[in-house]
Amino acid sequence: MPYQNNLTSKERSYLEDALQMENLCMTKCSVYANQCQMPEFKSLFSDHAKAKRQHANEIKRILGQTNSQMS
Amino acid sequence: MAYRSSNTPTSRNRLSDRDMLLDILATTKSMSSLYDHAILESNDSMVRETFENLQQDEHHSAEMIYNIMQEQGMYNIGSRQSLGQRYRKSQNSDSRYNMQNIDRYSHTSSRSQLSRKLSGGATNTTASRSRELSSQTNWNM
Repeated sequence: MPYQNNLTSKERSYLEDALQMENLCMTKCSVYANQCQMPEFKSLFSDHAKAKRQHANEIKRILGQTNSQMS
Repeated sequence: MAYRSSNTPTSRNRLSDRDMLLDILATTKSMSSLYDHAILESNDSMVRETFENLQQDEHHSAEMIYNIMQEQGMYNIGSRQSLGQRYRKSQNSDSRYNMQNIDRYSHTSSRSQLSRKLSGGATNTTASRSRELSSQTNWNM
């Protein structure tokens, strides 16, 4: 198991902040992908949204693992 | 007059493509600084490694967005010629700094620098000259 130790409160708050930011950025990217005029930007935004979703999942994984261990 | 963004036309209640790219770039920047702090303050090595990977992704995406904006001419940091001018200007100021460093060893020129600072620029030379003289006499007394 990679994350056997519990997170420090600092790590947890950084992870939670990062999760919020990644989610916000993902939402913005998908909105922009629909709104933008040029097609090349559309793919850029949707690719970026996908990358942000992966980031968010990664962060959730770390937070979730330690959450389930704590409970 | 309808609101207009500085470089690209923006219709009402709509962001231009440039605004959207700028927003994502700014978001990337702030997330990168968040990750920077997170890396420095992580206790667990695996957590730090995760943050480092995320940070690397942020750097890559910032570079990608910047390059695209640059290609589209949406991000003006000046033409190549003005870059050259900037470089020349910085060289000039470098040589001026060297001069100032040399001048620091002589009393009068550092006095005149001080008086120039006091008089708020070198435009009024006579005032600074007289001030320089008076400060020198004060110094001597």
